Amino acid sequence: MYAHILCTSYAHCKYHAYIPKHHTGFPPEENYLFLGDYVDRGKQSIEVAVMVLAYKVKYPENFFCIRGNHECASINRIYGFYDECKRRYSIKLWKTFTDCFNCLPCAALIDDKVLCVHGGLSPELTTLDQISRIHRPTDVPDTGLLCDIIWSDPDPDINGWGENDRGVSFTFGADVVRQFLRKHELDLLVRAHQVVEDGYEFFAGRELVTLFSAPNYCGQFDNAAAMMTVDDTLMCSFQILKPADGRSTRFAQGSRASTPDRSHNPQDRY
Amino acid sequence: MSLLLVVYQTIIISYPFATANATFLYLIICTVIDKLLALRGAHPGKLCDTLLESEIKMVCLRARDLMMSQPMLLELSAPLKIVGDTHGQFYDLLRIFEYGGEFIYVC
Repeated sequence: MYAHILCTSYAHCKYHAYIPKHHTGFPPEENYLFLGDYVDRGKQSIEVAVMVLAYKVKYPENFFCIRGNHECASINRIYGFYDECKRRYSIKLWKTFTDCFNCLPCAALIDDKVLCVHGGLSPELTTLDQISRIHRPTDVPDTGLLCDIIWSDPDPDINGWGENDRGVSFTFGADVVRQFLRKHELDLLVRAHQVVEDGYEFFAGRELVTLFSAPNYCGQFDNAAAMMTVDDTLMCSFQILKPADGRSTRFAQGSRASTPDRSHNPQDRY
Repeated sequence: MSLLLVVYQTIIISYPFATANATFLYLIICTVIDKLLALRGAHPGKLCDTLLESEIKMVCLRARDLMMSQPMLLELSAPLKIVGDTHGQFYDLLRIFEYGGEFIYVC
């Protein structure tokens, strides 16, 4: 079986006037895999996190979620989730969430052909068994395999491994992706972690795809959101939610909303 | 109806998690999901103020146990839908689920 890619798009419309109620995609009608970063930046992190976790509990074999760099106490302490928990409930609840996030899985393999992670590859990753052997519960360390697969980014301008502007982990070139996929007989690497204008963006000749599903990210970007459907023949296609009109006027050129270095005082950067 | 609600809230606050049975847990999970889905059609930005801290805590504890029982590298099979970062944008998450059922090929 090979993973094929097909590009599709959605017309932006008023959904309640458009989609019949009996045919929505709420679980368990569709199987889902979420790529992490449920919390921070938005105003309703608690609702999103609870919804994802509650669906996970209700449909354990049809709904899956993996860990993003914001499912880490040292990050969501700073970028909004802690404040939201403290304001609306209690610090104790934030600690309960942290205990739960420390047990999230960090990668998913679909039919041995499509690997899904939040960030990307790691120079330490030589066999997929290494991921299975990571012991939980665990915090996200500052270096090493777990840190890299949650934090790294692709970079079209380099070959091999490079320094990451975030100050954490590395960037990797298209050659690294190609070698990794050949070695493990994979067809596609799916990751999230960076805001992309159309909600999805290919890299390394369609061997890596970045998915981003928060439209009008932070109210500062004009990005669309995308969701990738993998059908039972491993054909991949995209559903796009166009950004809402008028909420933001332009796409921030050439910049991305990255989470900066954890070792610096965030107040210096934002 | 309101009496039932009071009974439910009393139970959920006083009921120790360790002894909660499967039926009771299922009831809580369904209640939590219903409370969140009740925001469908609400004005974007409206918070879900009906969620109780004890309910959220139970969801977290149960999800934690469940995820620990599944592997670190999930082995999944198609078909499925993959969703990227959502970052606390709850009404956009609802839109994603709404759209998830419909599928239109454009190109």
